[in-house]
Amino acid sequence: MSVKNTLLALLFQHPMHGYELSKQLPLVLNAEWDVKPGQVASTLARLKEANLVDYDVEPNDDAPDRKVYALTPEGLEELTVWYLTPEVRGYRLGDTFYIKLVLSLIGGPVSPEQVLISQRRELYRQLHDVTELRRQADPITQLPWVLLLESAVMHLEADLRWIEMCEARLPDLKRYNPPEPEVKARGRPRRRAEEATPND
Amino acid sequence: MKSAAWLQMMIMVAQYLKGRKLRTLLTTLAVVFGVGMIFAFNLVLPSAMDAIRHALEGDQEAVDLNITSTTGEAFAPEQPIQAISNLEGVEAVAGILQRKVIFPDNFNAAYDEIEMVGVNPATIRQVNAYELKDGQFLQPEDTGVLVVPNGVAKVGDTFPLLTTNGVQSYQVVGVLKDKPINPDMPRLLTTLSDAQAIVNQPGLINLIQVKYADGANSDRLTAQIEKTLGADFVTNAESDTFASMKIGLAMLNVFAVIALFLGGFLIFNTFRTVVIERRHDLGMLRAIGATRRQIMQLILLESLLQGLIGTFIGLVTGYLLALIMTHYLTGLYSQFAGSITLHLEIRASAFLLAALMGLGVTLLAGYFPARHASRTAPLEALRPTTVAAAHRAARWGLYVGLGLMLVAALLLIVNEAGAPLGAVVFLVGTVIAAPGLVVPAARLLDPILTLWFAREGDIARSNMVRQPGRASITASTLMIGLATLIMIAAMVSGFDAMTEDMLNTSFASDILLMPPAIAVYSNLIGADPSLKQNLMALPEVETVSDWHFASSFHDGSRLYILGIDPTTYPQVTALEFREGNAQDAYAALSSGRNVIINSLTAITFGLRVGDTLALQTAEGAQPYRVVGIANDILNLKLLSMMISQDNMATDFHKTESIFLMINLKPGVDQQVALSKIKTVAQAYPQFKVDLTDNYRKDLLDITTGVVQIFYILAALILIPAALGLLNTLTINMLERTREIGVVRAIGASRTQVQRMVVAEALLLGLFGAAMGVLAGVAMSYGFTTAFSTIGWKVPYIFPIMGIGAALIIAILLAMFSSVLPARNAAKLDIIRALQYE
Amino acid sequence: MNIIRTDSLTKIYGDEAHKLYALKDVTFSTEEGEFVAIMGPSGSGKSTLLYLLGGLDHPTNGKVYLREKDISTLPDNALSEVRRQQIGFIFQFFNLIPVLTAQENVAIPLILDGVPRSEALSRAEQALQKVGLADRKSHRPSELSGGQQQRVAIARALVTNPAIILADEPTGNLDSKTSDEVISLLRNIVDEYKRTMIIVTHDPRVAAHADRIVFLKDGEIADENHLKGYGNEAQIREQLGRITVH
Repeated sequence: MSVKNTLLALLFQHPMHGYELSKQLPLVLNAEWDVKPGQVASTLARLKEANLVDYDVEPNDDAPDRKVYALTPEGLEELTVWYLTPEVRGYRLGDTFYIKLVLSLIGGPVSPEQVLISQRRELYRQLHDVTELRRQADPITQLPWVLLLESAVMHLEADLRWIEMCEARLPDLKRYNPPEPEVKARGRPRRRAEEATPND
Repeated sequence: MKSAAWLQMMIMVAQYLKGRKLRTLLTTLAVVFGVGMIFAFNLVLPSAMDAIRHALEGDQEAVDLNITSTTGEAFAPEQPIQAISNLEGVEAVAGILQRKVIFPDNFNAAYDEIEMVGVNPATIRQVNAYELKDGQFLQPEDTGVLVVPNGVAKVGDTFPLLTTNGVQSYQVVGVLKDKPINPDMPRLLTTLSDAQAIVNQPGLINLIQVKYADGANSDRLTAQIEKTLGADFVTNAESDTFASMKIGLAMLNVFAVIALFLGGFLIFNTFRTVVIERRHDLGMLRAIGATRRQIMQLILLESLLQGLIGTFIGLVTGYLLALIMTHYLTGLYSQFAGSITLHLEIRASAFLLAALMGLGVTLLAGYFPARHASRTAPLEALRPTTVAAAHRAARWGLYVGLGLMLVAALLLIVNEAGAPLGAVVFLVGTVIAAPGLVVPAARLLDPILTLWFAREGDIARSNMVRQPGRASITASTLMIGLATLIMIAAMVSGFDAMTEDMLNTSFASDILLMPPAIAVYSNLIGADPSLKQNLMALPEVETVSDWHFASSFHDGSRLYILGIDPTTYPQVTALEFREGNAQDAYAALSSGRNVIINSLTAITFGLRVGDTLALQTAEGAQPYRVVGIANDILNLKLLSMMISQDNMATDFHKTESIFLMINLKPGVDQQVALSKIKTVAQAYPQFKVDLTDNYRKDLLDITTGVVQIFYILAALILIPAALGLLNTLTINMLERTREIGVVRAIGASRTQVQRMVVAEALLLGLFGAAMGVLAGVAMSYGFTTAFSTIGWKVPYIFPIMGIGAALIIAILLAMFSSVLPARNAAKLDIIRALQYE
Repeated sequence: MNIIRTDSLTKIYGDEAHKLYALKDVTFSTEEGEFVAIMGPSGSGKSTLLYLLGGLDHPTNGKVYLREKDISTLPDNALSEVRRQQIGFIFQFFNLIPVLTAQENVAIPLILDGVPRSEALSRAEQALQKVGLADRKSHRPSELSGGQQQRVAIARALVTNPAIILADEPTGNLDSKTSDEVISLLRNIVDEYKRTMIIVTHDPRVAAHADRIVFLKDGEIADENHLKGYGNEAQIREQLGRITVH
């Protein structure tokens, strides 16, 4: 999550000072927000440096004067480009479950079926709970929350469908025979090989 | 089931019916048609029978007992009247001589026929009051006077009457209070002696009327009288002259029932589709707890509702049809035997029969699909149909059907008597084999179809094959219609050939003196022997031979006995001998009590040449020996026999000529001779004088007229076949709405869709026609040869014309019935068709 | 108490030569107020199990007890009565009678059971109210959307107050949003009216509404997954509610 673009997006609404910005963000997103006020200030400073925002100083009687930030035309352009750049979720082949499944295929104390079932159980429980939360959420006042829950529902569904697919493929998968790593010949190499490959 | 469920089911059923208007209409029409025909026939036939009986026999008056002789002939009154009078409880007895008189054309402006009733003025009014309106009753010494029913004539009018001595004028002296029982044939009262003179039967009567004393037990008294009189007399006799006519008219009913059952096929087809179409609905109902009974009731209720509507409309249609038929029958009858009036009355029996048949057939046709529906497990109804089971049933049917056809073919070839059974078995076999024949027939007919429908033929063929049951029922309906048509065509040409053959041999004479009606001889007024003598006296005449007539009873059947002159008869006509030979037989007739019988008589009583027959005569039972079995065309359908005129005079006291045949001398101008003979016969207007050739032509025309009725009947049977085709095509189109949408979507033009439907209709039509031709040939052969068992030599003429007509009709029917479904299919909106469920 | 319970239920299709096991020794039970989903790949026997539970078909072996009464050997008429009075059915294709109004469709089970028409119709209206379609009671099925038709079918299943409601792919013919609405409605019915419900589905999102999922494979129970009472909500809320920034 990039703080920079989030701040630009908020500033598009109306000019704000740093403290206001850090309060506004969790309210809009209906989520907790682990950004320190200092981080907001330093980011704003970098944005000012890049000429994406500018500020007016607003005198304050009781406290130090506040800088009220606003978008510059360059900032607006940067924001537009950000909105229009699609986000792609990373497909992590290094996923732990994937590794478990594949390893179970080549033999282990548990069968691949059991791995799948156990994973499926958990996914369904989560899906059940997310569904419950989704049912309890008010679709009007808690719209961002609902969107987030539905995103979770869909991802869980996708994972479940993938498991379903794996299950259907199990008979094929069981025949999976990974290539053995090439075992280096020890002792005297044969002559021809000696000529072809240099030693390392 | 509770009333709530019934009401709800009625609503559901009504809505379902409303949703499929065309199909509902067709199904209803099938019921309407059958019910209408049955109702019409049963309205008209009894009325027609009554009218014809009135016309032939006159009316029996409402007295306590009417007694006639067993032979129907006149008898001497003294002995029986004496015997009856002596019985206790008998108040009065009167002897009567009555005779129906048919007037020749243009003889009397008011009536074609009357019943002349000779009564004894002294005694008759003790039995029958005969209250007068005007004038006076007959007096014992009166002669040449009449008492007539109210409205027939006025006192003082004269009335010409035919007698055996020619025309005589009678004067009306009294008018009865009552109108005539039969307004077309009034009973005219005259003195007994006048009547005996008119018919040349002096001293004889043919009816005894009895009045019982008050308080007498009439049943016991009647039994007592019957016992006293013995076997020579019958009481309140009902004529059985109509037995053959009854059979003929009953055939109409058979046709109606066939039509209704063909309608039943159609209804069956519809309901079977209804059940398939509503599988999901029915399955759902079963799943949510409807019992089998409830499902069955649902379908039966629907058929009942359709049956009710169809029956109601059918009854109305039937009444209208009856009116039309009345008109037609009156015209037809007058061609043969004079005029009759038909009074249509709504009979409870006709009403009940038609209504019950209509409802019964609909329910029956709905029953099997309903049972099928109720037997499907709820699950099966939620799944698609299994085609395999239908095909297995079809194959089973094919084997059974082909087996039956084989048996039938054997029956047809081996034995004349078994032939009709063979024909029926063949038909049944074809119907059973039909579902299994659908696939091979479709393959076989494919090349023909490709001629016209190169592109659409394949789809049409696979469409027909998809529902072998439905296709076969439709084709079977058509088949029965066409087979009937072919059979009728073959029988008609056979009869025509036989008639022509027999006419040529039977009428070898040059000129005929014909009575006004043939085959109802007992009502004819003949001519006394002077007519024959006068004709013989003409210089142009070479031979005159005539028939005398008497009737008798044997084993409960009426016999028609003709008296001939064995020497002259062979000169004017030729009998077709089946047993014995002409020379010996005629010779035998002149010597002693010998008789030549016709085939029908021989078969009916199991008589052979050489057998002896005890014939009831006016002189009691007399033994006659059979010397020949031979047929002539006029008496082919009657139990008739020929004896010598001498024997007839002795045993039956009958000497009048009822039919005369004249041979002219060689070289005589026929027209001159004809006019001379007409002059001589002028005094006997009951005879129609004509050249034999002309008469032969008339006779052939009449045969053709009768034959036309059968063609009309065949046409009537084709109507349900046409409805069935239309219905099946409509059902198929509805069922395939979505497919038609797909075919249209992937590029078929409207014309192609239309041609697809027409091709399917044509395929069905050709399939039905092919089976119809097969069954038709079998049936025509079976029934034609069957006639030889009753001694008729009907030649079997292969019905080429009938087959041609059947093929053309099948194609035309198929084309005609595909017009509407084809147009509907072509008009379908593609998008809506694709979404159709 | 078990509402429904099976005892080594076996169903074999086909003839002696080609035995096809649709179900093999399935022992399964449901408690009152429970919402169970049956899942499994096609051909796993999930529909067969549902049909046997609903008395639509007879098992080859084993028993089905509805409220501890054996229904697997009942004759057809008695079985029809059980279906009519104790079981509510919901089908994938709604299976409404096209020529009847929504209200009449809902009233059918009552009418089949001999309830007087006016009473049947008023109870049908109440059932339509429960599924939020009281205002559409005089519409024909063709005048209703797919979701509405399925809600009418649900009302029909509810109207007799059955011991158990069986649904065969109730959302199989609906789009995802309508499908969510329909399955939520079913969940609400279970919660609010304390009904017992068994649905066959292949949709994980639909199955996730259930309290328990029974997985079938090759006619046997492969896994039973209890979803209720794991209390992951707080954890999920925590996970989803925290946005990490970089």
